[in-house]
Amino acid sequence: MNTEEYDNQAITDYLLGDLSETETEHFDELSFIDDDFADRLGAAEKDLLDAYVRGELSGETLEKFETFYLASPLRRQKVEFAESFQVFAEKKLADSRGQKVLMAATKTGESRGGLLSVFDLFRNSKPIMQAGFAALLLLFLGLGGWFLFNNLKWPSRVKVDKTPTPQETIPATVPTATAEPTTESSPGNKEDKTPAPPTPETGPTRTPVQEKTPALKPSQAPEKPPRIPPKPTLASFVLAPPVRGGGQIEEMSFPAGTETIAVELQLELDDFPAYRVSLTDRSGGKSLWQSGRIKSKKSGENGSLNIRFPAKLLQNGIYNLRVSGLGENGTAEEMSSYPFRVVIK
Amino acid sequence: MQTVRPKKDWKITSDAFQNLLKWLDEGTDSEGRRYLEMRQRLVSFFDRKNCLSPGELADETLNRVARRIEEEGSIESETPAKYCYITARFVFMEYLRGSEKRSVSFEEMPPGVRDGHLKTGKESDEKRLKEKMLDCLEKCTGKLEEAKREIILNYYYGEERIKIENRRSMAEKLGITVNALSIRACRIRDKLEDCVGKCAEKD
Repeated sequence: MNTEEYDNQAITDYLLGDLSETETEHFDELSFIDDDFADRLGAAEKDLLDAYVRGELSGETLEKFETFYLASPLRRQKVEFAESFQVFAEKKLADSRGQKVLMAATKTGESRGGLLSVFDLFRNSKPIMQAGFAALLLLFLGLGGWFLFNNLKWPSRVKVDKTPTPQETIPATVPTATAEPTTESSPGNKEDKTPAPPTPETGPTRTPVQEKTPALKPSQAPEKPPRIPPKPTLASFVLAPPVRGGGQIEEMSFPAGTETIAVELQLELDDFPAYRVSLTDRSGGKSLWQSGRIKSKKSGENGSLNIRFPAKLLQNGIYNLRVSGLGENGTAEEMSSYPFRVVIK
Repeated sequence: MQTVRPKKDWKITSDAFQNLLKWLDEGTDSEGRRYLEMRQRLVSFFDRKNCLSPGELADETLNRVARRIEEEGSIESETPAKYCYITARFVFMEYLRGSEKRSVSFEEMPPGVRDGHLKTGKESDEKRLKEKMLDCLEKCTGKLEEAKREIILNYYYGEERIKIENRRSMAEKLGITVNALSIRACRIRDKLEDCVGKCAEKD
């Protein structure tokens, strides 16, 4: 069979019911008689599912997906699987990477052969790696000396600063007694909501704000038990207006045990007297939470909406915050949606 | 004289099923894999046509093919794949005619179906199901060979450009093309999905 006669876009269109009857029949037939086509169809469908789950679809493709593809219970099951699979795979990969780091750390800490293991690692590495190890070793020696000089405070710091990855952040947190928010944050009081500078991962337009854990000062005596970080109760994020034509889905990462999620939704246009925001499960479109009638606050060029909802509504996965504008006469008009991925750590 | 039984009364026998497997294998012995593959293609075909019970229609198609083989001894006019497709089209057209007669108005549909989503239970049930699915994923990936597990976990990692780069480097390491890798990953994922589906149904 001539495999040049179809391409990935045509296959995607076929999956979304967007081809003519003749083309559809042709692809129907190919899906039976051409093994190569059947394989490519399967692979393209999985990529399409993953793109949807990750919030990478937009415009007409997203609309077709939601109206045509999700019309079938069997295909909705596939979306559910894709969601769970992504959460699972990401967790597994993060675990395995963490495990590797832990193993390396354990080796260096072993009383017998600990140093030998490091030297073995050094000896068996490529020259460029050896140079890297040497540089690291010098760095560690330098840092070690510095810490020793500073009253041997190193052990307590190591134990407290147990973040799994260097990039990992902890959202702005306050103890329960002081965490209870006012109904809406004052726009002037945004110490914990100032958008972080854009990074390649987050993109320039959507910035979940998660304050990094302040650098812990090595002030405690070495014999004191490690300080346990206070249980987080509030995680706050800022979502910028959705980007036309796609853009990467934002990640809301917060520790397990967080009680409240606060989100500032920056509006693209602020031309309604009031708004309503609903939180939906991306795969089912099910409404999990809905705000009351809220007014926008002036922030920057356009207004923004401040909402808070219980963190227990969220699990690892993709969600959507849908904003509807409420007219004077009570009519509601859906304006935009802010998809985001939840990662509970 | 040959007796012809009405189509609806015909039930597949063990012999007829064996003949169907043999015919689908086209002279090789796939140990039933070809049958499963064809059934899957039929299910997907009927599902893409938004039929309500694609599994039943797939079985109906294969029953008709098996009946024809029993009647004729074999089918030589077309390849098994093409013949199954032609039969599936007939089954689909009959389904369409049937569904016109038994169509249900929008208002008569249960609310969950009307919304386009079947809500089968409470939120807690959904959460439980998701947790169950994650448990099943753990079990099912555990059953995979290590190399396959590596592929399936890494292949779908990353977003857009990162994903593409990641796949390219994986294919390079394995010494295969990206296309071949995508097919390999897709098959592993199909297996995994099947395993998870069965595991989740157990409780």
